[in-house]
Amino acid sequence: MFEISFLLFLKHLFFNLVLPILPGILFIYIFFGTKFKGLILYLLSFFVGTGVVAFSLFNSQIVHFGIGIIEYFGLLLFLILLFILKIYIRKRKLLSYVDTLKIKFNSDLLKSYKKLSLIQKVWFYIMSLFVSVFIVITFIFSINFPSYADDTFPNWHRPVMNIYQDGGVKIFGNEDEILGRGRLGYPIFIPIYKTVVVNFVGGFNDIYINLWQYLLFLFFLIFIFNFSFRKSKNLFFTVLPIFLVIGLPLVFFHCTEGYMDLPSAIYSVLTIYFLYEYLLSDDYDMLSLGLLFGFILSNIKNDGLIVYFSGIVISFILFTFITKHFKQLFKGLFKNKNFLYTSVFFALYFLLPFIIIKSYYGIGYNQASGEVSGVAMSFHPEVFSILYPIFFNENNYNLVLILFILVTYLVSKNLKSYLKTKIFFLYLSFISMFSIFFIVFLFTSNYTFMMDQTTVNRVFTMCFVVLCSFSSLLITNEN
Amino acid sequence: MKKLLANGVKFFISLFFVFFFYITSVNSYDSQGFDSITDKSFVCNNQCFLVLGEKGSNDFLDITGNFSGKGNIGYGFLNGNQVILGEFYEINGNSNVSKKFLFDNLNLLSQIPDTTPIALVIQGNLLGDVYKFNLGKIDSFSKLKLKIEKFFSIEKLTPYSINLRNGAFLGSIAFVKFLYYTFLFLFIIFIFFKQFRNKYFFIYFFLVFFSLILFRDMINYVSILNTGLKTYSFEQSDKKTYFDLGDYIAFTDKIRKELKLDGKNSKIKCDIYVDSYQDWPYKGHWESVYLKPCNVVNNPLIAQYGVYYKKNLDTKTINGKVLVDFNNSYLIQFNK
Repeated sequence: MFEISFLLFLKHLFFNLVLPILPGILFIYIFFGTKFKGLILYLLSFFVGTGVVAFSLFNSQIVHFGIGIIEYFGLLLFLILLFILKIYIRKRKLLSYVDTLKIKFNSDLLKSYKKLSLIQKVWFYIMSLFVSVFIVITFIFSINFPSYADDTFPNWHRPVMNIYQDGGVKIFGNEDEILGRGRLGYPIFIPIYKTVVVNFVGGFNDIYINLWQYLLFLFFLIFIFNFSFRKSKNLFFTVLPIFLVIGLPLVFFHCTEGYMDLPSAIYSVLTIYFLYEYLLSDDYDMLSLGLLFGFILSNIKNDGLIVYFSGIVISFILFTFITKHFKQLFKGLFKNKNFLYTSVFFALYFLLPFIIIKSYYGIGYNQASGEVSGVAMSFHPEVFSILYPIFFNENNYNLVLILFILVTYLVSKNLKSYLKTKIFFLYLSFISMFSIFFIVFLFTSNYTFMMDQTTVNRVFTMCFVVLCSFSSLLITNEN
Repeated sequence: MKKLLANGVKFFISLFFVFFFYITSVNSYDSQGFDSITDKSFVCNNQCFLVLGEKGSNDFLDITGNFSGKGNIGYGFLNGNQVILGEFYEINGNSNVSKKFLFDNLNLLSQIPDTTPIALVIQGNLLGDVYKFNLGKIDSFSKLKLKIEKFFSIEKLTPYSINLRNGAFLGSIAFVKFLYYTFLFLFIIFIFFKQFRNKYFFIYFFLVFFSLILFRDMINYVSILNTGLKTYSFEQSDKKTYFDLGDYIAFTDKIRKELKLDGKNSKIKCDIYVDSYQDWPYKGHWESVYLKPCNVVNNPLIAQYGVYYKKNLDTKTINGKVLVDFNNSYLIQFNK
């Protein structure tokens, strides 16, 4: 369980890359064709593929008990058959798909560097140095040390061990038998994915089990780089969001541990980004992909549905109302049958099964505060007294309030422009998620987690990860 | 008669005021809770206070003396009915103590008024002999040196690291707060300059401050990494310690290897009873992950094995065979 070796690390690295990417690429080909190419295809395959493996194997437990190597290859084979069927029915050439696998170097990067002012070049080097050192330190940390933080064990690693030991996930039965025998009501999708890796590697290793978190974070930084450069065409503003994200103090500990807060923030950014792309281009494929990430996000942690995804949906609907886009969206939903069928399928496959099972057992979303079901509403104004110390007497957020004030000032001063460029939606998403978290602390028994600071700083940090990720778009207001 | 009554009333009023001031206000060298206390010795059973003076410009409390018993000795600031506790020193047995508590180590120090009384606080059962409790001031140069040392002191990896970071301190003010105020001050000055009213210039200005915090944090990260690599990754297996969890990972690894819980035996059934010098965090970790596939049970009579972590165990009296004996920790196979 605590073995450290180069060969074992390579095994974990290989399976953590291959196991999600193969089904991820096939899934994207089946539902989105050749829309995504090169580096972005591989990144999306990793993000999507983790969900495809986890949710497919979970859903299959209803009819077949078993999570292991055979079940994974069964899924892969099924996706290959679907893909072949699609090519045959649509009469597409296989070569057009193969072309999407090539990664090309973007020559605009060099052109952009030459266009930087002197001060931007200096900051580009400084920020790149910080980012590089951070990546190296966290990489060494993640491949050398066992898990450390408390919640990792009962909430996220116990289900992995149990599912590995049991050979599958029992869906129907007594409360002490079902759903990975972990913390009842906590989503077990990422534990299911990790169990698949454990099966392939041949055992649970507490050093490398968190490699998925680290790779997810690394690919997330590359994703930010990718879209920030495409939008700004400026290397300074490309590296800036990454620099700000790694500058949030708790990120270091979350990208090397088994908690699900940072994955929730990452999938939130993916959801928001693709919904934003839909708003820009009216491309319903982007809306589908945004919803897909949103549905995966909803089942990473309980907060995923109640806070993150709800916040994004509220801000999206609000934005479409403000920009009078709602009617057009609503009409388009039913005109575009491909989008309708795809989204309904995504909802049925990724979002609803766990919600239905939880409802069946009467399990709520507030287990952390000891509520088995229900929300236990109560008013706790004492939480306001914690705000000053956590921002000013401790170092939980660096100086991110200054960034927030700057962005708020720019948005309020140029509101019409921000609405026109749709970038206001990005700002609104952050405000929405942060507000919901604060409302949860203010009006429920979860206030204790704000008063004792066992939850508040990490959830607020994840909201700021979202803000920092979009900082280049929010500051430049160019798309 | 009237005079007697008047004197009696005066006497009871005086008594009341004495009693009132004894409860609600503190004078110098007030003490509470001691079984006995003189200039040379004291006996405390449970919790005791001794007011030493006002915070004023004092920077430290110096404690010297011979102490015996089991408990903690430290200080606190008496803020109304509250005691804001500072640092403590643990005493277990006979100890010749010479300890200096720097008030600057208390993060809330800047919020405590100078007129606040400082009290010596004793918790536990302690006897003191030939003791001295002195408040004192540090010279400016030493103060500066201490502030610099404190600023660069490493915030170690702890169980709360994933939830909150205290950050660096300049004296008693948080570095983050200092930079926020400095930024605001400079911003108010620079806003009068036209060049500064450009969002890009503002960002470069902001990044200077943001980078300072990140740079200071990087020192912590590198130090934590260095400590972990030295004491865990690159250490021999029997000598590995994992931050403040000590040799518990090394001990758990020995248990797993002895019982062959990885590999082919990874799905066997077994029951293990665990007992450690403290439950948290060990029992939770063992129960949920580290002793799997075995189940952790509360009753040793139904267990096949027993894990005793940092327990003074007389292995001769245990009804079983010692499978692992490691640094005062044991894995026992119970006789059935």
